[in-house]
Amino acid sequence: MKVTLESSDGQVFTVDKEVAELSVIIKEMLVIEQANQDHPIPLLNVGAVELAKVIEYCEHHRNDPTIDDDEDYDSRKKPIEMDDWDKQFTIVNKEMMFELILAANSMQVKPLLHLGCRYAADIVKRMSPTEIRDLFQIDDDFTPEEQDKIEWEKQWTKL
Amino acid sequence: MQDRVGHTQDTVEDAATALQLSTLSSAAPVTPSPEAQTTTQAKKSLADMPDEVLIAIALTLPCKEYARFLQTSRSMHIILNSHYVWHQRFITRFGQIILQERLNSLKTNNTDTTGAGAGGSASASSPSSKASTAPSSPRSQSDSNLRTNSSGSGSGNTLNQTWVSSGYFEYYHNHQDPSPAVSSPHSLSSSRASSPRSSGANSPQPVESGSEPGSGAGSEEDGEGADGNAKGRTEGTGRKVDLRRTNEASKELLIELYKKHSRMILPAEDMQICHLDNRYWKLIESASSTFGKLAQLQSVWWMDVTATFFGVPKGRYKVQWRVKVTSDAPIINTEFKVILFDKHEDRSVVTNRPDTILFKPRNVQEFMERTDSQVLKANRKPFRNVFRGFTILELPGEVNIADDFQNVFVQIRNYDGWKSGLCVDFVQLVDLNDSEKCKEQLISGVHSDRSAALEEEVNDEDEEYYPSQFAGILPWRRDSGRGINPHADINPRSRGVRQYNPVDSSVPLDVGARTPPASKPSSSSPLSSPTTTGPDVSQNNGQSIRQSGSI
Repeated sequence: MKVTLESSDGQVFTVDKEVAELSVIIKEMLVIEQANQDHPIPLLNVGAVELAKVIEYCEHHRNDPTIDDDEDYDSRKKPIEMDDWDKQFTIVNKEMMFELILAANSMQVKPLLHLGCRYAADIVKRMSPTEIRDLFQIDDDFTPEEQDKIEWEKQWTKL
Repeated sequence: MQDRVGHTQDTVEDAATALQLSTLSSAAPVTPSPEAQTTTQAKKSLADMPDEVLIAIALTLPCKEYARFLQTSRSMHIILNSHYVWHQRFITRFGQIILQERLNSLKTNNTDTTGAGAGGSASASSPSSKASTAPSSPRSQSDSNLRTNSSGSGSGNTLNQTWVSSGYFEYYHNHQDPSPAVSSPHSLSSSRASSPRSSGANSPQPVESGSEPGSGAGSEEDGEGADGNAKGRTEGTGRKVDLRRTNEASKELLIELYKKHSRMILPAEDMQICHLDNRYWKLIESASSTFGKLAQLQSVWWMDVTATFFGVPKGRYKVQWRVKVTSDAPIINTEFKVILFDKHEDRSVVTNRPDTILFKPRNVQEFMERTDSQVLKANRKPFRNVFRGFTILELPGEVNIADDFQNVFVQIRNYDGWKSGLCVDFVQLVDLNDSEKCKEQLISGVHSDRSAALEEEVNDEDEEYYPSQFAGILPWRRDSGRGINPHADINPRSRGVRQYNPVDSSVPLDVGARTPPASKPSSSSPLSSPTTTGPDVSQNNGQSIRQSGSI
């Protein structure tokens, strides 16, 4: 059984139902919209490129044992192993990865979200706050008082 | 200093740019199309991630990285330094599975409304297995009973039932904000009221709490109060509020909950013991252990036992080890350390701190003074008879956690000489502000010592037996300063808490009734056998007795 998904920029993807159901959102949508499955499911937050990637990921992980919906506790306890394929998959630039994280978040593809977060964490590791700020164009908007407040944190977090 | 920091930052910057380059270059073949590239770049990055993503990232970061990550911007600091995230970190990263187990068992036990007896027997029949199930079940079942009893005046059975069946689990899991009516004083009183129950359940034998009618009734009354409070909560929890924006009162309540559920006690299984490989140290199952398993020292040169309490909430604590000592070799000149380190910090980088508690007994006497055993007999008996059974060693000084959550690192360390004859059961933090708990702990300590003393009396006919004063309490006021950390300060308040001498006299009367007779002999027999063997041990033994005699 096939499901059609429509990205925000209008591209239509056709995937197997079980692949699509890795996304919690789509799974719920499919339950709700039993009747009219002819229409593509619109994914307003997800662009075509990201959707393609997400589908690629889901295709590969279609046979993974599913984690219970409410047990993200469990999934965190034993983190999902990263196999070689995942490593290959995460070799993208960081903007792409963040888009993927956002897509995974909005589509609720938990394993991909975890993968992405781990990727992001790997980038952020071994970086000082200043570097993180530079890298991601984040404004340093601490007030002076707050600066003082976190001064003690800075003392030992220095590399 | 400044130079060095600058330098390291430079190198890191290089590394960072290198990393960036590498990711970019390696990304090149994969990047699908140029226009997609531009659109993605037009969008923003990390700071604009939804909060849950940021939190997910923060949860995967190690402590120090996480703290650095916090400092990047204001909004991130606000989002990520919240109690919620810290709590998540503790339960996810540090495996405080007990919390989940408890909540889950609450959930399952409460659905079974008739299971008063069943719950009790279940908890009694599973002595091993983390021991977390044992405390939870009596408590939860009493909760459910009370709730159903008092539901007549409430808004209806069904509501209560649903709340009960979901228990704390839902409450906790969905981060529901308690209604403002149930603010701090209420929540505090509820926790105070329910503390005897929970602490009673903490005691080694679950049978005790059931077989003692007086305290049972008391806790039931207390439970009523707590229950009324809980009901107020049920009716009030309509709205769900994100914890990140939650108010102080609910934060306090959460901390109380957390304290109740979190581990202030670490069994031997969860300690990091050097050479734990059956040859030097052994994990054995024993009925005398509170948790079913204890670590037994066969014989080792490099003794290093560490344990870490992660995420200890604000408060003042005493550190207590439950150990069994059959030789003085593992005690003399052994460092008992307590190091407080901050929630952000990595344990590996923590070394000595000014406020480190260091207890290094130079002779048996000094050690004995910190335990709940009989001090005066130390010089008069062969050492291995001094401590029958387990004693509670309480380290001098107290851990004062001023900030919200901190980690406490405890260590037993001795790198000289062969030693054997030590069993470690658990290490625990006793909250000094929670007077009930504090009292209970010490009473149970006295109590266990009492039974040990009785046993001893039977064995040694030729010895005089000192019944009352010496058998009991830790010698609070006998702190002479010898070998005791100068930072140790027992302030007047805590001393006030400790003065419960009347209880001391009454406790021994209950002993016979409380201790289950079957467990005692079986508990002592497997332990006492493999203790002092080998020439080294006896040598050490002789030396230290000479030492203690000289003082």
